[in-house]
Amino acid sequence: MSPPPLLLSAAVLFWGWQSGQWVVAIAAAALLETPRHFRGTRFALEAKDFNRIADFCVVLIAVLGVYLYFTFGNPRAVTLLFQWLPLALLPLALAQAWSTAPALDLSVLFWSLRRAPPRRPLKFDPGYPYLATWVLAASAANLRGEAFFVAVLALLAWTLARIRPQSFHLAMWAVLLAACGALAYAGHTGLNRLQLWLESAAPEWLAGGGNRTDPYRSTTDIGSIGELKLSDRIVLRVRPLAGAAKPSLLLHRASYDDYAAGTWIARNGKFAQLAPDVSGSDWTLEAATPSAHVAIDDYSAGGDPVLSLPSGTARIEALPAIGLKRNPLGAVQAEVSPGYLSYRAAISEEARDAAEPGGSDLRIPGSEREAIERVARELRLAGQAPQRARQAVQDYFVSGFSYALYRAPVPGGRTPLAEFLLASHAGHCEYFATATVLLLRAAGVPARYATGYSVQEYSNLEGSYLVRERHAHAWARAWLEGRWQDIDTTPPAWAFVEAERASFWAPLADLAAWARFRTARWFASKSGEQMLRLSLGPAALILAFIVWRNFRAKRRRPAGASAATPELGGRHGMDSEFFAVQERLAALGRPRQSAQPLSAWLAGLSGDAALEPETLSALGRLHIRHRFDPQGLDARERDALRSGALDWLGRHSA
Amino acid sequence: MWRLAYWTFSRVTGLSFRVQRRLSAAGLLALGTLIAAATLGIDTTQTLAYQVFALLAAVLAASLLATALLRQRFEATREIPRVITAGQPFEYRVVLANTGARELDGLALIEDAADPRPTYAEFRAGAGLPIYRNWWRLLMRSQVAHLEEARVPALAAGARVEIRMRGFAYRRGTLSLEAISVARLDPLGLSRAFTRIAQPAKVTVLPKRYAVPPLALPGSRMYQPGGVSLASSAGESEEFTSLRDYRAGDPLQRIHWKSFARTGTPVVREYQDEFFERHALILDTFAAPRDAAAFEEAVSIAASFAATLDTRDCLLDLLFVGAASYCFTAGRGQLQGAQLLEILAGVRACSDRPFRTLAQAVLAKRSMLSGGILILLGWDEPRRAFADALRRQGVPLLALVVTDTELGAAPAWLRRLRPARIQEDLARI
Repeated sequence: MSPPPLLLSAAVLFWGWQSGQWVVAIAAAALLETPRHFRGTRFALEAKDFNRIADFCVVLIAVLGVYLYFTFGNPRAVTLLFQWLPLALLPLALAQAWSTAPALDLSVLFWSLRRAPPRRPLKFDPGYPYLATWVLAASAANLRGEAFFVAVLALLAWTLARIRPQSFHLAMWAVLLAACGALAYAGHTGLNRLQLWLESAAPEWLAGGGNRTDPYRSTTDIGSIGELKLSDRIVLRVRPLAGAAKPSLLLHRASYDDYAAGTWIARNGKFAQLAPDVSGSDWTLEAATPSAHVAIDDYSAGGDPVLSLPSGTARIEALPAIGLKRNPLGAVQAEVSPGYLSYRAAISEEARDAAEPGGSDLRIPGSEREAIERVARELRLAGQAPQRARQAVQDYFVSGFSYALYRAPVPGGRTPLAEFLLASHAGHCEYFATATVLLLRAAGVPARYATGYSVQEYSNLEGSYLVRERHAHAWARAWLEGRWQDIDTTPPAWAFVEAERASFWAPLADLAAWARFRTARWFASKSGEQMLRLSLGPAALILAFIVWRNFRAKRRRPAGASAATPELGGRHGMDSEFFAVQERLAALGRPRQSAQPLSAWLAGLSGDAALEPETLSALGRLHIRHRFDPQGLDARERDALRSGALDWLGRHSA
Repeated sequence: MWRLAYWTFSRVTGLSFRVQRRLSAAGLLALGTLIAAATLGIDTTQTLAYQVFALLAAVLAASLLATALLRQRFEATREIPRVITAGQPFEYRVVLANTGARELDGLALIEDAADPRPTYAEFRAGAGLPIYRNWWRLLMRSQVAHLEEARVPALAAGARVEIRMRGFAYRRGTLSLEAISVARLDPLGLSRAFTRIAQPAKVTVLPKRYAVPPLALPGSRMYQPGGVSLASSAGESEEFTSLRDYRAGDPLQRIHWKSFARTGTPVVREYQDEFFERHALILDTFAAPRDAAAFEEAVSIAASFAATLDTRDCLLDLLFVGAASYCFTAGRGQLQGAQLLEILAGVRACSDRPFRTLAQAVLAKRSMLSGGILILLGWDEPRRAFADALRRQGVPLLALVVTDTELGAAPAWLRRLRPARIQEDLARI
């Protein structure tokens, strides 16, 4: 069953609305809808024609998939591929809409069915599946709001109304559908909330990977039991440029000022928009003279990433962002589309990195106060000068503390941080960073909890430092000598512990990642027009390959093999083009009556010269022989039947 | 491993069958879209596909719930032919009556055939490797016919309608039908409620047949012990050539009692000794599992000859080995050609006996045979020796080998038929 008039077009326009591609959608809808309303020219396409068009669509999808993967990476590439999938399938849909074929053979979509045809032909009308593809593609545009759900419900109602059994009352149908709509609304809202709750409740590494940073909240793994594990995936590439021997050991992403029960929160984290310089791609964070530059290649899966910046970054250069925001805690967020992005960080020793400290930078949570004050007393931090206090805290963690990714359960009555400080003396970077921040605060030094990456691995292959997901790190930032300074008390052994956990296939994965990165950078360096010019060459090659393959298949087919083995009562000759002629004559008001012999029917047409009765008679004879003669037609006669029928159809439109 | 594979494949196939039966075409599309939406919408912050998922899940759930609440009553009777032919479409009638109190629409008629899933023993013997592709191949092979679902027009309360059911027979054997099911769409048109009407029936599917070229069977008339009694009917016959006086040693059964009573002297009936052409259609059933396709073709070729040869003036013995050595004779007063086809419909490959069983059975009848058509599945030493023995004993032979393998140094009188091109090769005979 085909969709009713206008339904498919409505789905296409819905996609256009959601994706913002109105022009494309209107053009596609017009092309798909026109043949449903005008009985004009139709093309008599055969199965092999549809196969070629389907192959072309597959090539189109593959090229699109490769381009999106290299440009945006997963999972964004998958989403975008879905979004553009109906357009890649448009040639096939248009071919069917403008042809005389009411349905397509399933082998059009599956090569396996072409090689080993099923025992009976499997036909399908692509109308409704294609409609579903447009709706799913619209969902991939991710235009948030209630309108999407309402529109999908309307399209579904339109579709279901067509197949509704009439023996059920319309009101009952409407009530049932409305109930389904209400249930679905509650269901999808619940699903969305469930995911958000899971993400907030689960450890950060589980919820979304290491390179997704929430500048307002950082849920640590303090108190989590078991072993932490992060992947080897490369998230950043860092190259020192003029003036910088090696990039800063730490790349800062976000800082937080308030700690409660394992979570650091940015209370003072409201972002403010920055204005670009005249160039439009340079952004000044602080008025300071840069002394060194570092180039950073970053990747953002979801868009609008928080940038990874070395300490003392005063300017961000060559960043083609729509906008740039910064919060008082030093987090910088760029408004860019998902995918790869590159920028340069200009570093200055005069830069302060964030706004001056406030009252919250000295607050110690009540639950941790007892343990912190006990250690502060041991270290005699009270009344010490800031630099001495800092040294005392750093020294404290150097001796007697070790790095550990495994955490055993904490005995009752003590917080995990207190257990770390007073008993176990072993933990991962979040323990060290949190304890350092709170101890510095106990000494009266304003301090914050900072997250980002540690730079430690140089790649000769890429000529740059590689930052992996497992290099995600946390440390303390303290207000010393009028600027924020990074204080990392995690034992340096952590880098070795993490490196030992690298998988044995990491070199291969790195090679693949490097190839992908280079390709993506190449894609990014080309404009749309350049890409079009470059894609014409491969497209011509693919087209030539398809033509060559078909030509070779024809040559390889032995003479006579085209005639199917005649079997008693077989369905030989059902591919005759004369059936289309018969349908056209019926449309022209000269139908063949049931049980009327073909020859008698054709003889009855002999009086109408406009119908070319001699041609019809000759074609009819060939058709009968093609269907019923055990010897069938030879190749020349088969061609004569095909071309004669198609010519006649071309001359006689309905 | 085999057990696990069988259990998994069997359940997956069963589930797939139940889903395809339970859901309408629209329902199947909704299910497919639901799965795609679930995949695409797994992260609810990245796409809105989870909303499509929720909507389709709700309508499918409501639809399935509605079908559980639907109740309808029907009566149906089926009129189906006793035999159909493999490789050909067939049609039959079903008369359906709505015995409920309401008019119903959105109806379809579905035949419930016997479960085609192979047994564990069949899977173990025929699959080669425990992979799904092989399971699927076995499943397709065991499916006797495809039965199309028929749409039923809206049916008023108490109304009857005649529905033409269509099908296509894939292979020879027996098509077992268990019941007729009437499917009714739910209000949303996505799933269906079923009323099952038990109507067990068995249909014999005759082997596929090829066009056999006109064939002048070699051989001469041979003496047939038993004379006319064999040719015209079972037991004694009234057909005779003459009466004559009783001679010592004549069997009492041949005394013509009416003439004895009239003349007072014993008179016996004299029968003419019959000389018929008697041909053997010898089918090689010793097929390995990998030769299943060639064996089916061999049966089809045997059926083609059995259906085509004129047995009004000759006898045709169909010889093959199954559970035992079988010989079925068609001809005047014997079986009809069509009955031979029914026998061939049930022929199975023989795996527990050697080829010489067939050779011995045929050679025991050599004195009666005018000629023979020998359909072999290979050309190894036992088969070669058997054919040579028949030829040495003067039995003219049309020897055919159904195989894809080149025969190499085969004798000129042996004809190879390639399984994929049987008709073409038969035409060259």
